[in-house]
Amino acid sequence: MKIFPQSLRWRLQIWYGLLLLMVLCAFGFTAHHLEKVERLRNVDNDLQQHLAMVVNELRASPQRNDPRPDTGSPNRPPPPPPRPQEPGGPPGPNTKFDPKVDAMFTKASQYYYVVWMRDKEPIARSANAPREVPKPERNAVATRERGGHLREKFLLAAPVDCVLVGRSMEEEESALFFNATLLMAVGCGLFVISLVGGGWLIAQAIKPIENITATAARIADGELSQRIEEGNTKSELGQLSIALNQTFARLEDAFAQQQRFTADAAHELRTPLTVLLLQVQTTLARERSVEDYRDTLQSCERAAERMKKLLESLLQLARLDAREEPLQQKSFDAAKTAGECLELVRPLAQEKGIVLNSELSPTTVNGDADRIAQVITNLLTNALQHTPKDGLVTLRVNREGETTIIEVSDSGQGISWKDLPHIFDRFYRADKARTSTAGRTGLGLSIAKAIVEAHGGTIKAKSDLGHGSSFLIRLN
Amino acid sequence: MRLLIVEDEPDLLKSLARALREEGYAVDTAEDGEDGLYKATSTDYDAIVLDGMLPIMDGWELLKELRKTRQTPVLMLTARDRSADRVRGLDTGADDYVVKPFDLAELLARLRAIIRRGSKQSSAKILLGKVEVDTALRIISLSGEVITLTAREYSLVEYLALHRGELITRTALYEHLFDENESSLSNLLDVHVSNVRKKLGHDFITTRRGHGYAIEA
Repeated sequence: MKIFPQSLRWRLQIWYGLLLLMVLCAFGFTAHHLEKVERLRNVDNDLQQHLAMVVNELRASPQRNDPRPDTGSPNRPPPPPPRPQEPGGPPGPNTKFDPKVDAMFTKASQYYYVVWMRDKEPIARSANAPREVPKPERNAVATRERGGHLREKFLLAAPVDCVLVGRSMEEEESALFFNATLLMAVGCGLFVISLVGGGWLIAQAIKPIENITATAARIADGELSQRIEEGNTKSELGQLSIALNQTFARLEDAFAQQQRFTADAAHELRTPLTVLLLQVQTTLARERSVEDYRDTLQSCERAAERMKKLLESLLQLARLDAREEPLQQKSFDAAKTAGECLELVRPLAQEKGIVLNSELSPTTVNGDADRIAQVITNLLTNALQHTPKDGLVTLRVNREGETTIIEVSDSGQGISWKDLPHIFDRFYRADKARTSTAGRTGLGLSIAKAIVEAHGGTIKAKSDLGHGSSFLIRLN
Repeated sequence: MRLLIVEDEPDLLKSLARALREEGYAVDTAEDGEDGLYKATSTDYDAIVLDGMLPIMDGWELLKELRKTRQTPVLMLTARDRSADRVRGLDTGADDYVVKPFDLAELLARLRAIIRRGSKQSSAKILLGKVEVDTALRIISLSGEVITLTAREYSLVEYLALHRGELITRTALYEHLFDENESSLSNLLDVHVSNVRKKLGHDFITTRRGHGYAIEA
């Protein structure tokens, strides 16, 4: 029972976790990369500026004592070097920088410079420059990384052979590392919080399903009265709960009805079965006369007939319930059918000394004539059974607009108001006692109702206690 | 032993009465609750077999009325086997309960049991000197030897044995041994007593002239 929601929950959790991890990683890496690029660009810009400053200083040195300093415009194209150069004659690049510029190349500022002439050995270098700085090759790129943490920019240009400015990247790298760690920590924190929160949300979302499962399991165990807590009726699961509860209620009703019906049917079968068993057991206890055996067999036959009748009624009801009873759809004259039923019960009426009246006006009905005849006969027999000698039973058939009305009324004892709502219930008996000797099963009116309703009609009973009752069928 | 059967199903009533008569009981019958109550209150039956569903007055109602005046053992018959119905029957004062369809042998055994309980006899066997009455097998033996008695003779001995040490009047004996359709004016009782004495010994049943008969405890 727990496995399904658990697995659904875990699957959701895992997918959700993976997706979240991917988003966080992508974001983290992008942020890290962008920061790195940005920092490098800044460093490169600074290097470029420092380089320009050094170059400027080198070029400006011959005019060191010139009152026209031209620092501040480092991008100005350098003046053409004196050419040809006489060795030792003309003045070389000045390596004595302005102290302001020198101040920019200290340990604190991290920037250093190295200047080479033709030789491998540099002609000038800042105090903080690393001991070993190889002279860049002629065709080397203008920026290089060296020794893991050093980033250098150089210019292979006049007035010297090569100017190089560099700095250590350690500070940048550690800042980058710190930020990456921070990003990772925040990412991990977010991941854990989202995972827990997501798990809680999923659990909340799945909780109604667990409720439904538990309730359904209890119902399956036979506790038919159990219902699902509907909770928020607007949500999809709330809607599902409502739909399921309605289904459960209908199932419970159907089940209770079926149980009552089965119990009643069993009860009705018990009496003839008891007679059958008792007769046979008593008769077989000793030798009997032929007369005795005949008596016993006749009594057994009556019991069997009764069971047969009950069984047929039960089967017909079951078929009508399941809509399996084949109902013919033919036009017939209800008055003619009613007249035939009247003739069928006339001997019984004469035997009981009851007057049979009829008012039959021809009317066409669409349906199964045999089944309608069964209903009319049943109502007539019923009326005859409840009417005393010299009483009156009336059968009327007429038409009101599109509706055919069949009415059976009697001048019998009537039905009490207490019994009236139940007379169409299966096995309901007003007198509470078995009156099976009259050949009744307690299902006649239920079958009549089922047949009329299968024709799309209605059947109603009204009664005046002590003065008779009447049954009214309306067929469209 | 005289019984009353109250049952509205004619075939069932007829065959049940026949089966019980063949067992040696005197059997009266009633087909509805009213008649049943009238008979049950006017005659001292040894037991009543009562159907639950009856016309006019149902079995439970009859039982309630009966218990106001009499403690006759009652065996309820019913087609309903829900425990609520059983509880209702037993609570109203039924001594036992049999659900239809029942087995005849079981019904007879339960009847014997409630009759025994009605006369404060817990065992099925009653020992009277050399004579032993087995109410379950309906056998009487003298010094361990089974003696053949007619059903009526057996009933006579059984009734006196269940009320041993008591003086039973001729009227009471007639009431318990013969049903409503038999004439009590005959000297049939004397014939039965004489036959029993021949088979079980002259002193087995003592006569109190003008009063009745008794078996000494």
